[in-house]
Amino acid sequence: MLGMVAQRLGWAVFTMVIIALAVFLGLEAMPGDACTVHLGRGASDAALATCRARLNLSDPALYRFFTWAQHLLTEFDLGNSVQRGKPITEIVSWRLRNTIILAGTATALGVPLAIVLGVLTGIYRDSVLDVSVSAFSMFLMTIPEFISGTLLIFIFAIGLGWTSGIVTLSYKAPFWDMMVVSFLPAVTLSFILVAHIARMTRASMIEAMQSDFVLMARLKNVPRRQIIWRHALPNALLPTISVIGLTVAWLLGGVVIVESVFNYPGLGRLAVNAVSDQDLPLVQAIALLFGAIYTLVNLSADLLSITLNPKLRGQRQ
Amino acid sequence: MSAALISLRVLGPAGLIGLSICLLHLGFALLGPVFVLSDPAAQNAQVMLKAPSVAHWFGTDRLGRDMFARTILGGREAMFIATLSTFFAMLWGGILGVFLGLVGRWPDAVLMRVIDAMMSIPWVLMVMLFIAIFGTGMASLIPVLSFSYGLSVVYLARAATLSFVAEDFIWAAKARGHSPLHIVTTELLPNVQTSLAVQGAMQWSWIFLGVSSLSFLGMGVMPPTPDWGQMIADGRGVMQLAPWVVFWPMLALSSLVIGVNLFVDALARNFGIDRALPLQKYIAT
Amino acid sequence: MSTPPPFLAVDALTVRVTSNSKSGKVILDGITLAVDQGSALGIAGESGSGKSTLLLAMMGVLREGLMQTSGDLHLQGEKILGLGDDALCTARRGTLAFIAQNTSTALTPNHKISTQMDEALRLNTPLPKPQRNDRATDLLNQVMLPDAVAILAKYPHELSGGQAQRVAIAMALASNPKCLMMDEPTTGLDVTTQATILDLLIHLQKTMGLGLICVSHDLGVLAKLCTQIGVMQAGKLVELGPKAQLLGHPKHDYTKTLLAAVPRLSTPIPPPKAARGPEVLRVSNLSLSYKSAQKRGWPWQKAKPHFALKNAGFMLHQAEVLAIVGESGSGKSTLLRAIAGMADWQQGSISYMGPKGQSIALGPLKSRRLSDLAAVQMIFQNPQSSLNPKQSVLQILAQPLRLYFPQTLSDLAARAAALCASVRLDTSYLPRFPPQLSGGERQRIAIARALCAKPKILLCDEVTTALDVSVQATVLALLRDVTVQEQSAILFVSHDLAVVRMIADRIIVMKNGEIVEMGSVAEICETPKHAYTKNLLAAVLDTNM
Repeated sequence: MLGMVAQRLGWAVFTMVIIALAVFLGLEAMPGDACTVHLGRGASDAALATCRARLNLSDPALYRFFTWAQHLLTEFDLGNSVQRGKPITEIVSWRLRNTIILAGTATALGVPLAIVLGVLTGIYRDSVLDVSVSAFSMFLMTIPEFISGTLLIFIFAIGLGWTSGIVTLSYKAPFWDMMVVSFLPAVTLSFILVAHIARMTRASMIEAMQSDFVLMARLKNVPRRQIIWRHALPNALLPTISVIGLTVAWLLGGVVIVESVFNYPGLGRLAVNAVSDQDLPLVQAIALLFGAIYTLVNLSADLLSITLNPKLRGQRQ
Repeated sequence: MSAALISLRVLGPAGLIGLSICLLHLGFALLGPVFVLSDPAAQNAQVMLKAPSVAHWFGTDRLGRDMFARTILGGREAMFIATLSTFFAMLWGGILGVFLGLVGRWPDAVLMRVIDAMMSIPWVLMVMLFIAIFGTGMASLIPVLSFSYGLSVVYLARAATLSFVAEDFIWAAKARGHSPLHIVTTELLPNVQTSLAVQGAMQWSWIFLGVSSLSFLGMGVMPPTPDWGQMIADGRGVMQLAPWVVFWPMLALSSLVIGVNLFVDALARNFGIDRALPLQKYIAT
Repeated sequence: MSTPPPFLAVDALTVRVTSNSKSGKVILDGITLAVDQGSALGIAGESGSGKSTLLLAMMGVLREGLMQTSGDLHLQGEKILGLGDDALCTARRGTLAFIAQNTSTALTPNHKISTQMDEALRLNTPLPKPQRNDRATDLLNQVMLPDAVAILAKYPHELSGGQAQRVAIAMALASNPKCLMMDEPTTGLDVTTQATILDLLIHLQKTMGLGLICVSHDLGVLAKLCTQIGVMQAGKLVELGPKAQLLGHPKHDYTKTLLAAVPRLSTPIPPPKAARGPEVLRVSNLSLSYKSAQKRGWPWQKAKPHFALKNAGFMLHQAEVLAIVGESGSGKSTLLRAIAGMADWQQGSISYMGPKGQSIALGPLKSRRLSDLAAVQMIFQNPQSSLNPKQSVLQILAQPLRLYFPQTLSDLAARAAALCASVRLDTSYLPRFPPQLSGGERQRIAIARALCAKPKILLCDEVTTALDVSVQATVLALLRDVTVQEQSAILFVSHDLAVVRMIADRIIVMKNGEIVEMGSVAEICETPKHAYTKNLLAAVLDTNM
């Protein structure tokens, strides 16, 4: 098993390197550079020159990539933002925390609920619960986040007045305040999460309940409750772990839109601003961060799946 | 009459509703400019935020534009971008996926890792990166959307190919000496085409939602062309005063997406494809 | 004083598919039989006969979608179909125990064997925890698994087929049942393991006075285990009686067909062909190791090769049927695949006789010319996956026809019809699709497809293993005819010596990648020399009394 774990880690590192290369060097291939993008076509040569000097753009691309990578790995330094002039690490760190709070809340809300719903609808197939959950989750899956977010604001903020809807906190606000404020956006994010995971868990549960070993357990006089919890469920959940990982990682995409809807001070909203400012180094850094989080989440899901699967645990590979 | 009955049995009532909604929207998109007489971009300071009335069936928005015209015509450009992007995504993703599934071994392992890495960057960010450099507009949206969504098509096409590659009839064809191209077109394709078609329809709905989301963020379909996502972003601020400004585009967008989903679900069920089964990540080990 | 009720009584039981209780498909049709305590009943039948459904019904369970529409089933005088879960468990506890067909999937994958044994003991006996551990070890010893401690610590996927089957028997014995219910107890096991399991069951029956109800498609297994045998066809019990009577003097036509189709060691071997034709295939010193089967560690670790074939060599003559017999892992399928070009070999050579009598060397698939490919055609084991489900029979036959003999469309249809006729299928089959055909029909189309190329050599990879016994006989007869009509040679791979006897001229016996014995059918079957061949012969089960 250790071999498999090491193999997965190795591939994760490889993935990170590819992301970094793509994000950094992929843009080198395109016309212009960070300065022309930022300052626009009408920029004077002098302005361009100063900008370029600041960013050391005269050095060859590969060299710049390696210095950048070296700075990143040894000092956690992501370079400087073209627009704001400040080090990117500073700009990004608070907002990273906020986005993690948001994604974490959405996951903590969504995943357990989805699993419970999936298991229940899988066991009580074609019941009223099953049909209504299926219809509702289909509805949830198809509505984009910006619509569901706007609707939630309409209902809870404008209609009921429970929350303020749009977030007005500063990005440096304390942990708990940020947590409270992340609730409504997290619910928006979790809609699609719950719909997908519940549906998949249901299918997995149905397959497990129809399997040979569940029939055998029945014939062995195992009571129904024990069959469900000890025999069917663990085997049904195992294949879903990696897909849950994928879905959670997908959350990162939805985060950008949800943060814009709610004006939540996270990486997503920062990215949107960076694009309008045409601040290329900042956008690159955010893309890299997202890629890293995605890889990490998937890696954890994979490793969890390996440790829990008795077939893979004992293998020498 | 018999055609209607056949389609009812094939699709079921839900699927039929879905199909009708899709056809309705298609009608609006194609024929809209013919029968919508008012200009969706015409601003009129005197009728800002007016409730629905005889003059303006759906009301007006905060710049005095007619909501009816904007709603009927608001899907055109997004649907057009989605259609072209889906086509290119399925094309390049399908070809690469089938190729990787058949070839296997190290090209498969390495390329899948690279694709994995590319998929780690959320599509939104990839599109935004692209737009940051090249600006907005169809010419930049279609390529980057085709690339980004094509990545998941590679996964699907590869998985579909792998599920058949081990079947004896493929081996039999190889052993007979048929060329790989012949095997793909004659043996493989008839077996995977229905699930690929279902996937294509789903990709379309996702890309369409993606374009609308981008329009919401101000990066997709740009004014003066009307777009539902754009309209919702515009009208958010005055939602309380004038709910019709967001209501109509929301209704239009949701109905289209639900319609596509109902229709595709019914088709998938009919062809025996279970869309809920987990997409196992085919990581080469 | 009234006679005590029989142990198990089935009374005109009818079970249908629930979708439409009046006209749903009938799975069991008015089954009536009675079993006494301690007796051994066997139920024979082919796929679709309903025997597995009957066995499960005897346990009080009907699969989802099935419904009892009339008749009844009594266990020790009480009804058991339709009972609630608790009542059913009480009725079964200490009375009936079940052994599933495919034990590797019947054991819960995430529980160790110790957990599963403990569960069986906890729910079916009043023993407290410490005594349960001892009892589990006892039970495993009873089923001839001496290193019980090691087995208890393992997970189901770590056990071999034979070990898993014995664990299943041990778990069934845990509740001290009066009767064991078995569904195909030895299918999927190696011939030698089969014999061990059957001996074990007979031993248990004698020492513990256990009753047995056994369901199988293999009449040989039932002949060895049971005293009473019943035959089922399409949901009906067509005949039921004592073993000697049923096997020696069958009354019903279906029973007669079934018995006639079972390959036996006692049927006379067809006389050897007068003259041997010229040599069409020569394999010399063939050695093959699979790279992908090696354990992959770190890239710099040198992988140890695992040889699937070691120095195999033989000759095949025109119009001859050469059978290759061995268990799984013997290398017989690998040999076939190498000749077909689907596997690369490291040492040795394969050559066949060309049209002008010259010897042409065969290499891997890529290097073969069209004429080479046409000369060697393969037929696969699994009729489900060897035909493209989206192609009609005509299209399936058209592929090779167009590839090897480019011709006009009308010619194509005529040729396809002729090929169908040669496998005894009429032209109505041409527009049909594989999912609409039975296993036997599909296999015949596969043979027709192979014949399209007018091959010199036909490679048959376990082509009758997946077929019902009655269909098997037809396909074997067909293949024998093909050798005569087309003068093709056949390489017939199988694990079953009795089947091979019905069709082969010569036999090769393989074990662990090596050829251990080679000779004519008479030589191998009557005067075997190698110890392994003798084992194989001894393990073949006969229906003769």
